[in-house]
Amino acid sequence: MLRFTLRRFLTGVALLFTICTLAYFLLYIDSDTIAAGILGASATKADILRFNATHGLNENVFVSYANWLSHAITGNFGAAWTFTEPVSSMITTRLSVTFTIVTISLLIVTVISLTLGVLAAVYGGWIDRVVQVLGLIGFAIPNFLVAFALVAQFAVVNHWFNAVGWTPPNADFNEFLKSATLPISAIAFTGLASLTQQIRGAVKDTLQNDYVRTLRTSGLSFRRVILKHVLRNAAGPALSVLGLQFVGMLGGIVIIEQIFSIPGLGSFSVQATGLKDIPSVMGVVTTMALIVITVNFIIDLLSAALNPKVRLA
Amino acid sequence: MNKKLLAASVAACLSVAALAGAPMAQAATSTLNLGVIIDVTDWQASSAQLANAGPYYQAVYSTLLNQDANANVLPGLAKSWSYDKTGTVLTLSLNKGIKYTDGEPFNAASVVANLNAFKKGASPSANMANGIVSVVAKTPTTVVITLDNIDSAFLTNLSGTMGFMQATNTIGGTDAKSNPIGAGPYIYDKASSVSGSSYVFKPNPAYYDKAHLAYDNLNIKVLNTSVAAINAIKAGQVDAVAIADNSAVAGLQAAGLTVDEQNLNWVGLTFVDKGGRMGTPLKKLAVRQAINYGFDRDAALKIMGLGYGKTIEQVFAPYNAGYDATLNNTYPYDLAKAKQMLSDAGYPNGFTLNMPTNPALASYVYDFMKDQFAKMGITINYTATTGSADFFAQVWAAKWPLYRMALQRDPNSWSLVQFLYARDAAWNPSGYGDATTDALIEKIRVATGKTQTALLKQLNTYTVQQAWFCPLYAPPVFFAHTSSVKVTTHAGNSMPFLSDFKK
Repeated sequence: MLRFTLRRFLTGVALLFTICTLAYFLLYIDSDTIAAGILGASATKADILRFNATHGLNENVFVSYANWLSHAITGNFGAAWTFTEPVSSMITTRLSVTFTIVTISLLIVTVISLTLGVLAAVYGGWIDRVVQVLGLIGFAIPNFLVAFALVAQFAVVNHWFNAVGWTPPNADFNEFLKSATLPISAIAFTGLASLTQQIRGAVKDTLQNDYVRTLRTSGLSFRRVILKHVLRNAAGPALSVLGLQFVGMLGGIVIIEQIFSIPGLGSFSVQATGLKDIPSVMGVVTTMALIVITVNFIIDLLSAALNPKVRLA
Repeated sequence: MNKKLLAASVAACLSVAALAGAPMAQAATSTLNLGVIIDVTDWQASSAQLANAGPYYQAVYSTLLNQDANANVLPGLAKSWSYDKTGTVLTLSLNKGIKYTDGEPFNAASVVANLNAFKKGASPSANMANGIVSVVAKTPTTVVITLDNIDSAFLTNLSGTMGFMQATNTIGGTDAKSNPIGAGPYIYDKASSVSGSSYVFKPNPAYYDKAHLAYDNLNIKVLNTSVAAINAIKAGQVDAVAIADNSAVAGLQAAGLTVDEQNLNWVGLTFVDKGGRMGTPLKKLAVRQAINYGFDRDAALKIMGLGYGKTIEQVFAPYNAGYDATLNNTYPYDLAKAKQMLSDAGYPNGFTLNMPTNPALASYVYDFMKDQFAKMGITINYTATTGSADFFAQVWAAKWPLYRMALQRDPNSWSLVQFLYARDAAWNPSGYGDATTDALIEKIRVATGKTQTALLKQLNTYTVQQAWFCPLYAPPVFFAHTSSVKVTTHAGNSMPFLSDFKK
């Protein structure tokens, strides 16, 4: 397990390094274009030179990358070009918002999918048919359409929840529920479809194994067989899908944060890109890559813990 | 057990729904919940801007002078002002006893520091201060500003972006970008605000002009997408917000909201080659006038402007000194007359013109214009630019004989002249002018009051008759608000000033 962990960790580090390096060189390779893009077409050569000097763009790109990397390793992404706060500080603030939404969404998706998936697989019948139909609907409707529908009904018509904005849970929990319920529901909706289907399929497959019948004939209760043995064996594929769900949610949050005007990492990435704030864009890319790699690392470890065969992969 | 679990789940869901869906607390009547479509990135007064970002700065900073909704200049932190005979030395007399919210007294030295900081600052309007030669604190309550030339927009600028006064000890400080200290009607409550989402302002107990303050508290909610703005006001989360999506107006009105309309910009053609340097027929007055007659403005409004706005035949807006309502029927649509004029001018078979296109605009805009020109017998060859920046660069380089643009109309008519008519105006790329316009512009520069208005009217009339442009329509900007808020639209500004909101 230790070798597996070390191998996965080093792969993750190498991947993160590759992504950061590629992103940095793609963003910074042509400093004159960066300056002209920000200063506008009327900028003179002198304006561009001044901008490059002020923002460190006149350095050799390899030197500036080494400089950036040495700071980024310590969590310091430098100063933003257009925002008042340092990039790291802005990312930390906004990451907490995005992380809250995605984590709660993921928890909800896990709990509901696990319940519905197991029920559908074990009992079949109408529950299974309902789950299948819900799955189809979940696959067919993108989360931004769900967001529009939720806002139209529950914010504009009923005034139960907020249509826009964000209140942190530690500031006012009631306001947090009002501001977070609709975006979390929208994000969770599409995640439910795939995970429920995955769990349903995995549990159904596992139930057909001989050892399940053996366990039942040995006198173990059905509930114990399901909870202790079937779920453990069905968890591997479900965990993989859960990891993909997390990555998908991080992508989906960009548009959901725009619809709900939420100051998270997704809306920050849109803002930073629009303002051509390259250090901020670089910070967002690095953070997103780090999160995705970390989540995949954790999923790999959990899968390996549940199924020793995975360690050989 | 399953039933118990189901019952517990339902109960939990209902309790969460009940908690979250509890009726929203009735907002205090003295709180204005304002939606703003852009976020603030730098709170310093030297980085200030108006339009949609205006409320952030107006909340925390007072201006040297104020302006009413018609952009008339009123006393502010300065109680009076006067120019010397040359019109280039302005003396401001400041109110006594005003303090910034950190306790620092507001005085002439603070004005000097602020204006100098603005001149070097990051505000997009920093060029307003280009004409300042010196700012001197003559006494603690008297400031003397010397300009290099007469600038009839200077007082208006002191009542806007250039006039925001920030506590002197915070200018250039590390905290100033995120924690503004001014003498405005409100104090920024950073602890209660969520950066990028909502900004909370508490009342400034020492505000010097409470009589003109309608709301005790202010909350600004950032709504940086059109969808968010529309949903927020429909859901009652904000009392007022600018609407960028014209197609949403009918729905907002149907929802019982008031939508105010303002025609700030103008859309039309600018004839660059009036001087004939490019060798096009646009040098001939009759050709330019023919195009004005031959362009169907009603159709342009319907197709290019999707029906939103008003057709126009002059660039000057009704709120501009120099606007002349009698010019509104100078070029009634008459295709036959246009063709006859072109024929008389020596182009019975028409001619060809080259124009740039901006990919930011839908193709139907250019298709419509091409069709209009074709009806007159003029062939248009379009050349695509790579984007707005490229389009502007090519237009400013006077590469094309004419172009289509939407441009703003500053409420200060001298600013409009400097923007569009003067030989060195940004949007007079060929630097065209004649003896008449040169003389009028020079007279307008030094004139004031009714004399200046009369001269502006002459310039406007002359350039309409000379067909410098082919103005088509004035598109609206919309501002939606609930019936609980009374708002007066502000001349020349897409966003009402905070002082324009009343209970």
